[in-house]
Amino acid sequence: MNSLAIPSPRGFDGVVQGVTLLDLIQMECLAMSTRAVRVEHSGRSGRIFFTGGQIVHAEVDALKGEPALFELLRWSAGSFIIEDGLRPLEDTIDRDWHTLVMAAAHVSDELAAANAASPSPMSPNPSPQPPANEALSDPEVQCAVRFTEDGSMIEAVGDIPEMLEASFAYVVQLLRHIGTSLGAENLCEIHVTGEQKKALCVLADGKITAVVGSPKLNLPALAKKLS
Amino acid sequence: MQTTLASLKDIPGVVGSFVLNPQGALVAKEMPAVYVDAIFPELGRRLVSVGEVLEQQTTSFQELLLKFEGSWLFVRRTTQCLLSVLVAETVNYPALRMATNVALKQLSDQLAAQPARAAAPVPAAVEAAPAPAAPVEAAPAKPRRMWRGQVIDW
Repeated sequence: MNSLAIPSPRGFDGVVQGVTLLDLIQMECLAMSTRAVRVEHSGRSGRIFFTGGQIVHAEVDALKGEPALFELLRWSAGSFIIEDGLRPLEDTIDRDWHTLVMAAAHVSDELAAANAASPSPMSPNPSPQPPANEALSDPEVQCAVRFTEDGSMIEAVGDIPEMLEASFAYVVQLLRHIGTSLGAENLCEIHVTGEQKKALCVLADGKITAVVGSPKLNLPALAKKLS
Repeated sequence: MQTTLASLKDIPGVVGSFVLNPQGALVAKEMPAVYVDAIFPELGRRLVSVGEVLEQQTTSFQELLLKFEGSWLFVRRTTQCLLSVLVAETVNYPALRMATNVALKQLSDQLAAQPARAAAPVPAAVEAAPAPAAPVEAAPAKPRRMWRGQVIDW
């Protein structure tokens, strides 16, 4: 494995039983940990690296980055060792851990439903993660992001979701002010039509979903699915 | 311009409409009296900001449909102006789009005919009333002469 080990007497080990690796990862992230977790299962071994509560690297066999992380998360049981002081030589994961956990949970659900015989969606060269809301799988969708009113990203599709989130978070605030001045409350949807793109923003249940797509995107139909 | 905006009310559900110039200043409005002129400078500024943000993230928008609970704001943009129509959510949307197509064409023609006025912020939407003629200098009071109870000029 491509890691830099700094010997440390600290740490503990255990056996993952009844608790998933996903639970362990969430625990490390919430604790803002900077260390590694070595996971072993059926003679295979991998590591997940945390820095300041974010997942920055994972490796198993020849896999690195997100493919490795998702491969590890497919393991239903195993043992783990927490390794303090271990740092990766490179950071291969930059997505927010919330997004990764959501994507992993979705893949896990799909795998369970589709049977273990189906090929892993986390191949070494994975396609974009299937979004939790299948409406975002529309081929005309180029980029999408789902986030809470307080700015926590829940789900993302495409490149630079952070930029899309920031833009629509601001636009929503501006439009709410405009609505208030006109006596219109509770902004529900924003439909944007441009020459080269269309965009949609749906606000429901304290969550905001913003989507950018091609001019062929059917905004009313997509809004209905997202509402 | 007022006539053009007023014609949008032919579509059931249209509450009112207003036109902003590309900088967000109010050019004309046909809105119920409750929407006082004072709300439009901030509204215009915000709408222009929305356009700028969307332009960075997506593309320069031509249409913007904001769905609020019970009412929608439909905004259409050209290089000359932003036409905004406040409607009830029960409006016939295709009919509204068609009506705004016609209105936009008329507005474009009208704005092109008076470019200076379209570019300059107009604080009030009400069409400026013709300036009153300069008051005629009051002639010095003529001394009046009475004869048998009648005023007579001389």
